[in-house]
Amino acid sequence: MTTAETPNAELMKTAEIKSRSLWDDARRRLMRNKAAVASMVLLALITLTAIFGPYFMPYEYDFIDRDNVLIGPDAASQHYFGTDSQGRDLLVRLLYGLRVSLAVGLTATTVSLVIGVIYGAVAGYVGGWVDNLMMRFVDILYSLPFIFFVIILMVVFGRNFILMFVAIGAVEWLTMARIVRGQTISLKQKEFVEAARAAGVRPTGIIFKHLAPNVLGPVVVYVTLTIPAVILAESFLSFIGLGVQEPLTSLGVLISHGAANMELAPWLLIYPAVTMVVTLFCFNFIGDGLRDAIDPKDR
Amino acid sequence: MLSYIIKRLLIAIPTLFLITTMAFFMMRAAPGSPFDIERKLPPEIERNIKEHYGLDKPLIVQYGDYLKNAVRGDFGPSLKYKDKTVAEIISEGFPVSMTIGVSSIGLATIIGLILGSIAAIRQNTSADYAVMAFAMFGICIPTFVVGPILVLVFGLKLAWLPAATWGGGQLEYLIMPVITLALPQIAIISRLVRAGMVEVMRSNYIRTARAKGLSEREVVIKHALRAAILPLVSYLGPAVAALLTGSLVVEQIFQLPGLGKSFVTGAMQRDYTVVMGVVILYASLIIALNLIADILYSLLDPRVKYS
Repeated sequence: MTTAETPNAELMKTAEIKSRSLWDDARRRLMRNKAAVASMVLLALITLTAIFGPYFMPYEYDFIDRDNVLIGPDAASQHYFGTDSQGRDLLVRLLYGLRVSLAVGLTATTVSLVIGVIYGAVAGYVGGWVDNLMMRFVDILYSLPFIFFVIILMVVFGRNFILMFVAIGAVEWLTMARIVRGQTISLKQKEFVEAARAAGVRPTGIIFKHLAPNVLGPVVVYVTLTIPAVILAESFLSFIGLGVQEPLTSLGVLISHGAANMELAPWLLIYPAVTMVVTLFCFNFIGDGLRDAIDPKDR
Repeated sequence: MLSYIIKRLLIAIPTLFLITTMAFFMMRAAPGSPFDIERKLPPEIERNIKEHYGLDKPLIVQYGDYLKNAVRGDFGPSLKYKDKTVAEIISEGFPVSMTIGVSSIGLATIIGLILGSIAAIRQNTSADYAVMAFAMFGICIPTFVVGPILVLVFGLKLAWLPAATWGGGQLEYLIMPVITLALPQIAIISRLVRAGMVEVMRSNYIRTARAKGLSEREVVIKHALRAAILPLVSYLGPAVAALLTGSLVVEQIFQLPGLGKSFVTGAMQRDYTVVMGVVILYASLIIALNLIADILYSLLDPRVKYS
């Protein structure tokens, strides 16, 4: 019995070692990065609180408590983070603002991901004058003072929530396209792509089935770093008064209000600012951790 | 090289044209007009005003007129400030934005170079970690958080520095806006320098330099720094765009009479000509700096050849 078991166990061991792919390696390295793991846990907590927290709050985000205007953090009235200049509960507004900021971050990043990956993959794969033309166009867009165009867009379409996602996403896809194109060009000379082509796979099949999955690494890293950039961009627009409209709120709107009232009511600035900074820290640590895990040559 | 520069300049023309066209038609698509005020103007008067500015013509004719004038350097009158031309508004606001922008990028470059080099030379020591932690702070703490906090602490509580306004550009009025604007740039530049330097320090020619018996200081300053500066040069263009975005916020926080403020209020009040003027100015600036960055790059790194 024992003699039969031993080679079997050994066999399983070698199988285990063999199955350690590039991604397993990357995951191992990521899990060893304490800052990244802590950030993932913290970010998950923040996200869950933002999603489910408001259901457990005693106040609505647009409820005006006339008896408690501009009070500091106070447990007795259940305004744990205080109220703003109109008597609205800061904690519940903070959670709603966090929801909006995270939603903008995810949606706009998805927009930029879809446009950037398809554009970059096509340019890199087709090559030649098509590539040249497509990349020249990206170069031109790069030299636009983009923030101006986002501002003009917000003016034209009157602070539309969905449009803001699209506008910011449309700004962020350029770098994504460049990264994907570079990867695609280096990949398409590899043997497995040639084999697929020889087997008669159509270009679209090659792009989506063979190239896209292999471009994943750098794209994942860039995505985690784009989300905080987008959250910042949204907050920036809200701060100069062109973002999310009242009574709905975002971290940028809250910080802007806080900055305006910081002498009288510092908590209005401190809580949203800390929330925002912690969220951005998490995304950046995860992004850096992923980059080191997937491409460890610079450590 | 010369043919490359000419080629790039030729590409710049359609780029600018495209930007102007996009900005023109987007602005005009916005609902409302510059003459919407609280009290409605009698239709005859409004018609007269529009005729005066040529706004009664078909849009495509106005576009043609605008291009014709813009090529000659005439960006027209402001539609909101009756006695000012766009050129005057720009010449008032641009020096303010330019002063804080140039000071910030200068400060950021110096500090970023020092911090980045220290981090790279002392790689994986506490000095390195401290610099990288500081850089992470600089990236994660937005300008619109840093600015108000600086105002609160140094402007209001300690009253060491004036809390806001331009004050004719005196040093004490400049300090807080410049620091606010420079902080994220310091972070980005020190990261860039560290990454470049770490790679360079491993290269063969650095080993050769050390083997020749050069002191570590000479190795770093004469050999490593030069190569590590390269990524900084290509960052020049994006940096201007970032400063631009930042200055919109900084000008609002510190109530500075800069161009960013003119642009935002111009866009909100449909002051078409002012918006167009600022967009064209900044687009030209970004295009020019990208070109300068590429030329500098090829001068600094003889391996790079343009054709």
